[in-house]
Amino acid sequence: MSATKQAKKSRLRQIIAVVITFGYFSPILWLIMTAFKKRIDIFAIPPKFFFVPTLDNFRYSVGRGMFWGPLINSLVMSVLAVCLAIVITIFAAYAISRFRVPASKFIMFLVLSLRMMPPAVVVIPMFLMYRLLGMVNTHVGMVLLYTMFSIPFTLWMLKGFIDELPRQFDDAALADGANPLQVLKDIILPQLGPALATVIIFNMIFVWNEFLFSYILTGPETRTMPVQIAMGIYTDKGVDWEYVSALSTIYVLPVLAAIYVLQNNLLRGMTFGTIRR
Amino acid sequence: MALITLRELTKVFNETVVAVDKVTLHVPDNAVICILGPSGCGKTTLMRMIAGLEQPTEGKIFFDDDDVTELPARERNVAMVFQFPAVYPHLTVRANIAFPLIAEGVKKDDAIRRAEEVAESLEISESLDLFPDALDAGAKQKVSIARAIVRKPRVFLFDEPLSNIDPNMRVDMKSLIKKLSRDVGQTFIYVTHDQSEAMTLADYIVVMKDGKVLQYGRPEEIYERPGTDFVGWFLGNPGMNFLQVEARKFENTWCLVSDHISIPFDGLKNLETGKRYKIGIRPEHISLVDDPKEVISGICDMVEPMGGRKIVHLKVGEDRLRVKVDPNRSITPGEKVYFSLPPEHIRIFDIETGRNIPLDAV
Amino acid sequence: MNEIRLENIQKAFGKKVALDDVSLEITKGTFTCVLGPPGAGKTTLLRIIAGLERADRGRIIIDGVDVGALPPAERGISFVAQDFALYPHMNVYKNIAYPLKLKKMDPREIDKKVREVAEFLKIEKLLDRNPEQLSGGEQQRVAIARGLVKDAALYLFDEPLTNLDYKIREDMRAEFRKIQQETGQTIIYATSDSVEAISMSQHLVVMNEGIVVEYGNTLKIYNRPNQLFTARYFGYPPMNLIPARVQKETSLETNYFSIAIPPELGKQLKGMNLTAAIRPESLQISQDGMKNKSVVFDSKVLLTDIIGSDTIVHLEGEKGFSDRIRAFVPRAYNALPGTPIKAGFDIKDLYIYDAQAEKLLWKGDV
Repeated sequence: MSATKQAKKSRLRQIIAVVITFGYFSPILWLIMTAFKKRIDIFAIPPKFFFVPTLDNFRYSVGRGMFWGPLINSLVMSVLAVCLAIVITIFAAYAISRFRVPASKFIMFLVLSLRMMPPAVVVIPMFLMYRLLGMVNTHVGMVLLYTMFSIPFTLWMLKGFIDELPRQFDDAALADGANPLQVLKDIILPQLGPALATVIIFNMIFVWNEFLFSYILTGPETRTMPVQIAMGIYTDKGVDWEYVSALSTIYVLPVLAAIYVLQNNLLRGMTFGTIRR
Repeated sequence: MALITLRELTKVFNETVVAVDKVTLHVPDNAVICILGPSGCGKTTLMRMIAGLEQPTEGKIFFDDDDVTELPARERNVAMVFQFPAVYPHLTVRANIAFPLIAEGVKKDDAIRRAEEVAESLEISESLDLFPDALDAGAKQKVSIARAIVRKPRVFLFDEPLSNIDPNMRVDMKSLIKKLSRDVGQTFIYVTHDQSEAMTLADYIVVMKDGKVLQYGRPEEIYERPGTDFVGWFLGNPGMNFLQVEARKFENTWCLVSDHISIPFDGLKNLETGKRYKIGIRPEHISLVDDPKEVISGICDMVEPMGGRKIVHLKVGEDRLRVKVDPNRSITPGEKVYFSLPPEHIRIFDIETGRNIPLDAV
Repeated sequence: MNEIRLENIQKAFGKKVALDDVSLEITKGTFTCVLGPPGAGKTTLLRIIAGLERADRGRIIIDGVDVGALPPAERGISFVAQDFALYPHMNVYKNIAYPLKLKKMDPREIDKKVREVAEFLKIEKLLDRNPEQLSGGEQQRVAIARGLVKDAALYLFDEPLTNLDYKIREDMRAEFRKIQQETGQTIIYATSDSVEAISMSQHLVVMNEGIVVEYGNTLKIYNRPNQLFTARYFGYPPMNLIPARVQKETSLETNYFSIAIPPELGKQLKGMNLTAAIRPESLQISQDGMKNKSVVFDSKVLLTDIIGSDTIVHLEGEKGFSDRIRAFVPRAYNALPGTPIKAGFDIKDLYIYDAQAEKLLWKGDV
């Protein structure tokens, strides 16, 4: 008797869990569904859950222009900025973790405080600086900006990971005749897999999602997806739902794909240090 | 107090790794049983099954006549001492030892008195008021042992309790545990890879390898008559020496012959003429002789002084022998030495199976 | 110049002094053991020689060059740590090859050397495995192989056999000695095991609490430990230490026996707190009388530990078990607890220590 009661209870729990998960995911689902609906279906009341999917919206958006440009900008900037940030940071993280770097605590504080600063506070000075340097509306300028914003998180994460790697391996390699750079290359880097996955994902998402700086500092040639979505909403005929939904769907797909592929590593990365190997 | 019976006990991990393979044992009451074997032989798994920390895949465990196979650890009334001392850092030594009693509901005064008695027998009375942090590894392990002893369990289980202790303290701890086991008079099961611990402590030794019991018996019996070549090598410090020979019959005398040795060996009806065998002899049974008449010779390869004794490594053709000699005897590497192999100390093993071939005809 | 010299090495971690004014000279081509209890500073000493730790003060001179400021890679040393530290992301072959790869050696040469050393240590079948698939003993062999594969002026081993199976230790001990004998390498080997120290090393450094207690030829130290600490620590089983005093100038008295001593010595020792020491193997026991020993006393058997062909016989002490006296008998010897027994030794095997200053005052053979 109690067994059937138990089963009923757990069934109920499952249903609740499914409902909550569905609620959580519904905005994205709504968005993706909209992208595949005809204009009439988009505005149907009550909303239509069953419809004949169509690629019309995508065809229309490509035709409208400002479709491939922002997508490529977003992709290139996020990949370049994240790679650059990792290359620069890995040396810093290794140095701060393993050697006595003067004022390393202060450096870490400074770097992190940059990240914690509300963007709205620094965006105007940034704009003035960039204008002075002639870097407004340039690809290089934007990549450098995002690199700078990716560094703090990367540094904190990588330093934490390297701190957790047993020093005995460093010592063994040093005694084997390696110099510190070789230790980094041969011993530390190969063990940083999960850490790098975590850092790549989080920074990519940050750059990919970033709106404010892109809005202020880019022009039509360097504009990224979030800004283009915002700016492309209104047209002469009112809100252009077809364009926004198609663009947004394209926009979320890489993020979902990346998280799906790297989720195991991500999980390992985020729990690193809490569970001993 | 308990008689322990294991019946075809088997443990398989991940459906493929056979850690313990059909072990059947009958452990007498109030005896110290050492489970001896190299790491990975299944000895710890076997003990953990007896403790109830591991569920056997097959087989049964009995304490006296009770089938305890399905019982969880806390209901088996066993006390266990692990490789690493398990002490509560926030309690004094006295409170640590008294803890299991107080947890059982014994009155505090009685528990403390009992704890102090046990501490006395383990020579840690002076540390009673200290916290474990102030103790070295050996003393901490004594506290864990005291905590196991203070209760009156049916069985004591020791899992390599001395392996992480300073070797100098180990000698003393060994004797201490031996004395304790005599005083307490309970069934002790003691897992170790150190043959000297097993030889010192055990009333009975179980030699294990690859999940199987190779031999079970009294220490001196196993030492004198190893069932396999592995047992011969594993017991003893250093272990048994082995040489490959051929059994031959010249007229009426049997001889064990190789390129370098020839030993007359009488009436071996169990051996086959012309077949190759492995002979084993213990280092202390090889005697070096000064007279080079009719004896075997070898070249000294290395000398290991050991304080009270000395181990000489000899090269005899391709074979290597270790010989225990008087520490005052001087030998230098490169020297030619003569020695004899007394037939009464030679054990014969099958080359393929490694099994001892009994010499009932001698 | 053919030596390794340490001059006044000082090292502290925070307030804890790890090494206190350590000076040593190590002859090339010898096997030196550093013996001491855990926390004696052995590991720190080795790490400082290897360059993994910087000394606060003092000089390290290898082949006439002060290497104190050099990084480990430039010191020409090889170091095997106690915790193996096999690189988890490399297989056994790559682990062993790594020191040679760093030297930019020709791959064919590397392959030859790796296989040679693997064969020597009987791990040639493991070369394709990953460290996590190896047993403790196998991991240790791989670590030793990685330490031995490169040519170094000095090989450092930090308790490499601790935590290994007893039987593996027995074989590896002989192995280490053989390696050194055959290659003539300079080895410094830290251990807390007396048996390892006496069976392997030519020279011995006894350490305790960051200080070099005694240093010299291993057998000489064994036969004549000048410090009470060495007497207590170096030996298996450890030496018997018995409180003693001189009241009348002609005899040394303990609770077990008294011995006639020369009056000059008696005058010197009178009133001092003394410790009489006898090695367990110098103590002979017998149930009948003993004529060949100069000092004989009565006791009772407490326990006999038969270890194959040897026996440690524990004799009842003043307080029973806690201050028992041990005799090492090189054969199987069995007696029931409580059996009355006679123990005897030669006066030449007796050591007398100053119990306060912990120094050797007199040995019976002089």
